[in-house]
Order: sequence, then structure tokens, then C-alpha cells
Amino acid sequence: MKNILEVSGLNKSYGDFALQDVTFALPEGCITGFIGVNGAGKTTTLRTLLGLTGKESGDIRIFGMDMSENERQIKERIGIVLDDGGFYEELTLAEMKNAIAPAYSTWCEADFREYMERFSLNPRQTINTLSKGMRAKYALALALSHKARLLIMDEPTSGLDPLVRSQILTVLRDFMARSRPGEEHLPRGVFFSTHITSDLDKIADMLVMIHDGKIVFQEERDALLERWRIVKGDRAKLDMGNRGLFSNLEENAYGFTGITQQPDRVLAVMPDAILERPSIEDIMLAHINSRQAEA
Amino acid sequence: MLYHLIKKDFILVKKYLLMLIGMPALIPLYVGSRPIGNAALIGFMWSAVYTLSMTMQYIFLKESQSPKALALLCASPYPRWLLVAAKYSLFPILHLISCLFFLVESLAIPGLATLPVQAYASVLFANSLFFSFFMPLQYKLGFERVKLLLMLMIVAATWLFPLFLKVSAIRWNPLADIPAWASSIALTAASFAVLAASALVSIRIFVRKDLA
Repeated sequence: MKNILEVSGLNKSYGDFALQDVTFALPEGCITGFIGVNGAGKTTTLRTLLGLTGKESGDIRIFGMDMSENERQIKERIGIVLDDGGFYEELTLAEMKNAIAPAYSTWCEADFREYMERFSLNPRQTINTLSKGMRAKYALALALSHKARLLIMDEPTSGLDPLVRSQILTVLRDFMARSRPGEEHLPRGVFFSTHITSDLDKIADMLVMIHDGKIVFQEERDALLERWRIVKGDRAKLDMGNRGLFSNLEENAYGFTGITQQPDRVLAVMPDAILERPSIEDIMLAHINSRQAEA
Repeated sequence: MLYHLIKKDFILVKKYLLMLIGMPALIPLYVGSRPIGNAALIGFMWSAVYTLSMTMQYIFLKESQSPKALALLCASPYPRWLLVAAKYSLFPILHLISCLFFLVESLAIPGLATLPVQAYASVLFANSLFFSFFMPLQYKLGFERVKLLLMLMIVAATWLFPLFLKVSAIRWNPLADIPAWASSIALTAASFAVLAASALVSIRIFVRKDLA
């Protein structure tokens, strides 16, 4: 499988925070979730990808082209959703569209109208009167109306109610499934950062985790969820020898709950332990806690 | 693309449009009615500087209130230099508006003196110096830091310009011996050269700037 986006050795520092040797790749045809706690470096990474902040070193290749040499050509094919939209508050939806649309040679007014109708958005409405959900939908309408092949989104579902989040996830699935006649061979992808990992449980194919400006892992969601297990058991069975099997361990008077990447070994030493499938959030927290413990 | 960015800047300040149009219309009338020397020139100068500075300040105010909107534009295929070029394109438009208002008023209102072509060129040059100094500062320091400085500059210009006219009339006028048409062309060319140099500095600053 080819990669639609490749980042290698990306470094960028801001005062006391730095992206350090950030390297990952997005396979084409995948929805990739970019996870990490607040301040982990998600937004800085996305802004560097989009050329909004400069990089100190590293390479960014999108659609196989070097971003620094083919910026305009690449940006023509990227749909962008920034955290909270990124609009002039006092403009109407039509006015904001009129400011953005001329930047894209492939802008499709029919697509824009279709999305506006689908999301029940009124072009004459002023942006500062939109609810958070409507802003997110409008941002998607703008991002999807110029035949984009890669969507890059920064926290698109943050602060939204479950219904709107579900609608947005449906639009993303449609985007991945919808190939226009004659464009079936062209790669598509979605890369979105979030700290609401439940959305990724539903939709993501790949996951990239960042913490403290460093990439922690990049892995297929199903393989990741398959490898990890939450373990619940009797506290009396814990000893110095088997505590090391767990990345995150919580104990109380009744027992313990831990998370492990070695379920077979855990079952071998604790045959009566209960093993459950974890969520992405459980795995993310396990990584963070084990890194904090190492530090 | 440039046209749409210029249009966007005007739409950003649509709420203040009446005031921004009123200023070039009313200031020459007000100053012209005062018993001061060179009232027409001072009125026109004042009108041109105010119209330009207030419009630009409102545009930068609106942009500072929505920093992510600028980020969205820069993340789109718009090249960053074009966003700066759009702002510089506002200069001739706003200056022309001031000129037209003054010209119409000076022809239509009997009490208001007309100005020679050389005076229009001098004001263009002074205004472009002011604008060329202000714009790179705006890109480097941002709206909040520059607004106080700008206010001081406008107040100082209002007092210093009449003083300058008085002193230069007595002691030194470098354009006195040059034909009016030649000095007008020279001043206009110098204005655009200064603006172009300033635009290059602003583009250099903005292209390297990390956006919110």
C-alpha cells in the first residue's frame, strides 16, 4: 500500500516545547487518527504539515511530492478543517466561502451547495450566530467542495454533541467511499487529530500517537486493540515478578485492574484473571503512564 | 485571486463603511473652514492619512480577532505573498477615494481652495511613507502592539505637518525650481518605489511568521 502522506525527522521547537524527530506515514485509503493528550504536539504537527509554522528540519511528502517544492499543487488537493473552524466571525457563510473558494482551481459550487443543503446551513447566516456543531459542518462543507483527496482536520469533533459527531463521522466515511467516475485510481485519505478517542474506535483504520512531541506508536487500529488486554483480578495474586507485565495498574481493596500487551503470560500466572478488550483511550493512557513512570 | 482578497478586506470592515467614507468627505470641509494657512492642503493630507490608517486599523483589528481565519487562508493554496499584496493594493484604492472626495468638494464648494497637481503628489508621497513604515511593523509586531504607536503617529503628523509646511515655505523647498509636472511624476514614482520596498519587507516577515 502506498503512502498518501509521509513525515520524516520533523523537528520544531517553541520555547519549552519541541517536536522531536516526528516520523510517521499515512497509507492511502485509510482514516488515520492522530491521538495524544492536550499539549502533546498534535496541533503543532498539523500546522507544520500545512505550512502554517516553519520547520527546523525534516521532510514532508504529500501525494509523493515534497511539500516545500510543490506547496500550491499539494494544497489544491487538501481539505482543511481547523479547530473551531477558522472563520471571520462577522462574515456570512456566503462571504467566507467567497474568500476561500477562489484559492482553489478545482472549486465546485454544486458540491458546496449540496453540502450546505445536506447540513441545513443558510448561506446568509452570520458565522458568529452558528452553533459549534453548525460551524463544524460548515468547515467540512468548505473542505469538501474542491475535490480534495486528503482531509486534514484538527480536533473536528471536539466539544460537539454525540449526534453531530456521528453525522460528521458519516460524512468522513462517505468521503472515503465516494470516488468520482474516472478518479477511482486516485488515492484518498483522512488524517484527523483528536483527544476524543471514542470517535476513532468507530472510524479509524490507523492510529498515530504523539506524546511530549515524540511519536509513541503508529499502528493499525485492529492490530493494536487485538494486542492489548485489560486485566481484572485478585490483588493477592500480584507480586514483584508479575507487576512488570502491566503498563498501568490500579489497585483497590477488592482487586486490581491493569492493562497488558502480554495477555498469554498474564493468564499463565493468573489463570482466573478476567481479560477484556480495551478502548483506544485505555491504550493511550497506558502509554502515557508507563512513560511517566519511566521518567 | 487578488481581487477576492481585496474584496474580503473591504467586507471585513463593512460595518464601518459609512464612517470610512464619511471621513474623506468631512475632514477637508472641516479643516477648510478653519482660519489657518494652507487649510486645503492640510485638510486633504489629514483626510488621506486618516482614511488610510483607520481603514487599515479596522481590517487588522478584525484579523486579530479571528487569527485562525488568516491561518485557514494561508493553509489554502493562496500564496502568503498574495495576502500581503492584497493589503498593499488597498493603498492606491483608499488614496484615490480621498483624492476624489477632495477634488469633487473643492470644485463644488466655493469656499474650499483647489490644489495643484504637485500637492496631490506630495500628499501621495507623504502618505506612502507613513503606510510603508506602518505595514512592516504591523506584520512584525501585530495589531495590539502597533495600535498605540499608530495613534501617536497620527496625532504627531497632525501637528507636525502644518509646522513642516511653515518651515519649508520659509527656508527650503527642494521642488521649487522643478516644473510641476516633473516633480509630480518624480514624487509619484518615489511613492510607488517606497511602497514596493516596504511590501518586500512585509512579505519577508509574513512568509516566515508562525501562524496561530
